[in-house]
Amino acid sequence: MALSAQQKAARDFWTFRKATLVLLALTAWAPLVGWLTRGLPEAEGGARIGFAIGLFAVILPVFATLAFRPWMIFEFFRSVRVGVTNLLLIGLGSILGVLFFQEDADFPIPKGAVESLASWADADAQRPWTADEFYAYDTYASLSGRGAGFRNAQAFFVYRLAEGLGMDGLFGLDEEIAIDRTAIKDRLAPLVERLPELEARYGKDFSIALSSQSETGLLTQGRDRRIGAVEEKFDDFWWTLFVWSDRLDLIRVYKSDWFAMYWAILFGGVLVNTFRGGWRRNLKPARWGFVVTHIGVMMVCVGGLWSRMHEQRGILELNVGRTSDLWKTWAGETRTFHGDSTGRGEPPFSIRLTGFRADHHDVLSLNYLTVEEDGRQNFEFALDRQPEERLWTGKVLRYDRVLGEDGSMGDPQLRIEVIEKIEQSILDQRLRPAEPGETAHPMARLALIDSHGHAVRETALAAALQVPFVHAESGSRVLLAAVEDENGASELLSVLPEERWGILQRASADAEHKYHDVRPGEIFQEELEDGVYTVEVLDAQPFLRVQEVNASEIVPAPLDREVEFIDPRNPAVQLRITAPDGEIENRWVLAADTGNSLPVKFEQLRYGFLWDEWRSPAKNRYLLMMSANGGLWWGEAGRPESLRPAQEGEFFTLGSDGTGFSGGPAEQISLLQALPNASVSPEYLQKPGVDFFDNSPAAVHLAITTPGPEGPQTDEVWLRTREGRRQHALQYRTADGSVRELVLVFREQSEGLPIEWQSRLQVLELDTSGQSWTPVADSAIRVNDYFHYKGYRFFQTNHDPRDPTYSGIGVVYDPGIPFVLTGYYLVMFGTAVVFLIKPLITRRHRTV
Amino acid sequence: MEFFEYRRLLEMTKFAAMASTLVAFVTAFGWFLLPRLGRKTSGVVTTPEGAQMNVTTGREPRDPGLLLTVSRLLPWLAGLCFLINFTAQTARYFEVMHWPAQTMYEVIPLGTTAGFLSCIVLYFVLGLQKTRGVARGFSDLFLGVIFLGGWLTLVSVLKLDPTGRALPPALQSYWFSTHITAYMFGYFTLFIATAAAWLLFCFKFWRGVLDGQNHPMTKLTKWGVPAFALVSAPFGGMGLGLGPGLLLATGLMAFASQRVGSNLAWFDRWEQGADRFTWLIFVVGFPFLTAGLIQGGLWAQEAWALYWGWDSKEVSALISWLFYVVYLHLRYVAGWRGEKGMWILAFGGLSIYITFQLFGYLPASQSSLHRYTDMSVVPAEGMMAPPPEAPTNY
Repeated sequence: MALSAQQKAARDFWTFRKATLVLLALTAWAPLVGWLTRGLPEAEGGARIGFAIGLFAVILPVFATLAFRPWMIFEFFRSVRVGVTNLLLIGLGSILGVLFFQEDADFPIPKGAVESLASWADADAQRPWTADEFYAYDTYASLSGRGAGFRNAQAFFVYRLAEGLGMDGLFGLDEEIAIDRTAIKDRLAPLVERLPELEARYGKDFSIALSSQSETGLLTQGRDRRIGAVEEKFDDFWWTLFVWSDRLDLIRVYKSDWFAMYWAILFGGVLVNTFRGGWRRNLKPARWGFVVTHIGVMMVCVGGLWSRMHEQRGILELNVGRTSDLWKTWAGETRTFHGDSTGRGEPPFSIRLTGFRADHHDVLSLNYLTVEEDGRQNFEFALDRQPEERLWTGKVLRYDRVLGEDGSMGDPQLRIEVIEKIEQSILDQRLRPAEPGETAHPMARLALIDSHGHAVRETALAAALQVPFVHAESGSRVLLAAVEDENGASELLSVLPEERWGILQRASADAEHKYHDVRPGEIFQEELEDGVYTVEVLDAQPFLRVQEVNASEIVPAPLDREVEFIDPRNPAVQLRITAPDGEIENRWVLAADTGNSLPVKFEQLRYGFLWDEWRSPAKNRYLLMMSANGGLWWGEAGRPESLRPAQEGEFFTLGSDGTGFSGGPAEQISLLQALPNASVSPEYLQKPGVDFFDNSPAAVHLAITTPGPEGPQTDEVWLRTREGRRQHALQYRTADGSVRELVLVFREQSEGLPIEWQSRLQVLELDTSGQSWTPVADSAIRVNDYFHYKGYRFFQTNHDPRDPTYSGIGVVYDPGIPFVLTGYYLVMFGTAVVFLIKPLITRRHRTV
Repeated sequence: MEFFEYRRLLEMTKFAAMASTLVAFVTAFGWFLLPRLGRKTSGVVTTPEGAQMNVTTGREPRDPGLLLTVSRLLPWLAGLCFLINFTAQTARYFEVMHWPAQTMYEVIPLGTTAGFLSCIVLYFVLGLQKTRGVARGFSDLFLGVIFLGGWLTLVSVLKLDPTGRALPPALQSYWFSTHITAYMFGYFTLFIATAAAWLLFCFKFWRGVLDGQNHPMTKLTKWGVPAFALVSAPFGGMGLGLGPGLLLATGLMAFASQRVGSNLAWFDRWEQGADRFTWLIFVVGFPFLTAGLIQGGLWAQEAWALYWGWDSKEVSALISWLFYVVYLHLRYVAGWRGEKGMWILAFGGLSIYITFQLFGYLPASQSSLHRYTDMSVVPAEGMMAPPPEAPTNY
């Protein structure tokens, strides 16, 4: 087709220079059109007319060109120079996007909030700021401490850039906060000296990690101080930059009108260039890859636009067993899972959380002990630096080589082989009479019998441990006690144990732990170096569930039953600590927080908490008593008249006085076995028929080889993260004569991210009568595996280590997703066809 | 089994790469010097006065047999480096029980593995086995630069924190292996493209310096080469080695070549084919870069139901990709050839380096979800929290 003179002129018109100028003009034009378009419906009276005229005036040149020079616009999109310049501008916009801290896309700064703050005069200093203003300032300075703020991020970048170029002296910071590399080297010198020994004992990776982390830690401390100073010193500059970044949309580049316009031009350019010349041209095999790729790009653009128009994102927060047909968008609006967002009038549905579990990594800590000069034992490394290993069947750990004087390394003195690891284990604790020479204990084995007569829970009690069998449904506890005879049993029954909720254990620097009984209302004092702290026990709960965290303080969900009927699944105690200077901290101490990882205000006062299952509030406390010659008695504590002989195979009713929470038939336990001189050979087995949601602890079977007097000796031990033996202590003498003491601890690493969290969801739909909800679908979701139902996508996002039944489920309604995903696949496939598949088939590369 | 330790195998790879670098540089020098190594030939010439005198008429071509044999070893050496590095990655898999791509200590050696593999692929795609003479020297030098890059990279990797980490939930996906491996192949192949372009510019620069009258430099080369060397210098040993270091080394070679009389004539032939040479490297790397980018989006969709979150890592990757898309379109449609296009390739490598190694310093990265490889940061993992509430009075 011959080109007309006009067309030819239009084609030659778009030089790089013109393309750049026009695109830059459009960069200013797009926000103006956006501002006028959004302002028009909101304006009133004369302002409205002004907006309308303004909008007409800025759009007119485009219409005029379209009417009188349509070829110009067509050639604009067709021109490769325009296309390339536009791509460069998309790149440039993206560069601005990474060079400026971006506001949270889900929680944007409310419109006008930054301007409102910027217009504050000194006289306003006393007025409280609005929520919008606070949030805007929080994005700037990160007052609430939730991640980095604009000022910190920009200062960090500028400082690191200057430091990398050796120009950080230009900031003119105080000499006092200069990074003293010599001092750091001196501090690290003792560690550096020990590195060969550490490498020999714990391996090269451990020694490098330790030295690298220590050095990085010290450098980072110094650097952070300097970055903080850059933030403070140039605060006025950062603030001005923030205000202008807000005005020019530089803190929301990807949502800006000008950036969207570049994508629109990209779409237009790709569309025109892909299909010019007609369909038939594109059917040639030589063009398939090209066409597929470019259709893919267009689909991504279309899908992105569709998403921008219709996308809704938010969260559904549920506890196990709860159902909801409401969810909250990030904008704070409450929505239902109706057809309302789809407009298709689908029947409403709701979501029930039928299961949730966060599974943590199980690790083996190798805690070597050292003996200090004063004879006290101490850990060789700080607790967070102990060597820790994840375990799996077949893994072999080799530690502790002896370092020769010539630097050579001997054989490992400690070898641990994982014979078997069971992820969800049960402990078979059948009792047997102790062999001669074996330690014997009075022990009993009980099973809970359900209303169908089935044994549903089995447990072994040892008199020495003082840990009862807890039956929360009836508020009952059953404890095994050793007595001399029937009189002793009667005496024991006549006394009710003094009630306490648990034990608070203070970790103190002198390695002597201090204990306090916990009862609500109790007050005690702690003497520390900086004075006396007063601690009041405000509350204690066997199963803390977090309703919300308000200003970093936990607000617990109200208990839905009396404390006696609650299984102690997440025991916690609330303390009010008053410092010597009168400052107060309200703190929850969780029994599960064994790693002491939750943030606290008074770092110097750290507590661990242990729930007392026997002496905490209960409706009924039963005692099973056993004498050395095998006599057995049963009775209720505080009621000596209830004493009666007992025997193996017998059933006992719990909560028989009708005080049971369930109010249904009283449940029974059966005494399976009782031996006064029992020994137990626990067997760890894989729990049959369980899925991910079963929370049984992991168990591991280890073969530990150490040097013995007559050559290497191997011991086999089983360790379990909970409900069983968690640690194993051992001692050995190395080839060079050193004595090593070591405690192996198998534990759940609950302080970091879990290995996996999953929720099980059930969809319930309202039936046609509108009366009842019927389950229609079930699905488990995990990160990387969402559930899709009627346009909604449910994906695992939040969990709360303080509330084991809580699950935060992300909800997304976005009809643009299928377009974009198809586009993605097309681009990937098309590119592979053009550059790899076709050249491989034709064995020819196109270099033109 | 202790022999198959990741660190030990990485050290072996480093050693193999170092040895290969030396071999490649020595053979390259050999090819450059070969024309001067032949025995002089002489003949008797009669002067106008009738006197006869002996003069040197040239040099006998020297048999390049040994040099060629050693040269032919280079792809095998690349294969050896690849094999040891690959074994190291396999060993690491069993040490941490997941695809070894979580920390920089794992990801970068995954990249060098891909780089060595790419080197073998490129050897045949570029037809380097067919080159002879000074062209062979240049080809060996090119391979030497790749080995040098691999060696210096592994030197820096072995200083990193080697702690093996468990995978957080978001990384437990089949995309984890394919996304990162595709990226690594793409990244390291395009690094090679950058190195090839850079090597050409270095010689072009020195030729201009040594013989500016006959071979004037364009402004782009005159200013671009020193600028590029300066820009790459602050990036540790690798930046120094491959930036100013390589510039100096090529200076020496150019000077030597000039002195032995060839007047860098061989460079003409190389320059003619350079555009196609770098283009073919791009052709091998670009589809993998695209696949890495797209797979990232597909993965984010599965993890967070968010196919594109404008996270700074995603955006940095997009910027690099756009660099190459611009190169592609300028070449295809606007006919950009030779120097101009190759400069885009050179800076494309820099863009990838920023995405890959420096992204943690960018302001927008402070709230990124992609900081898995940063040992000091616990990944945010998409945990979502509502904004803080304003205090009633502040």
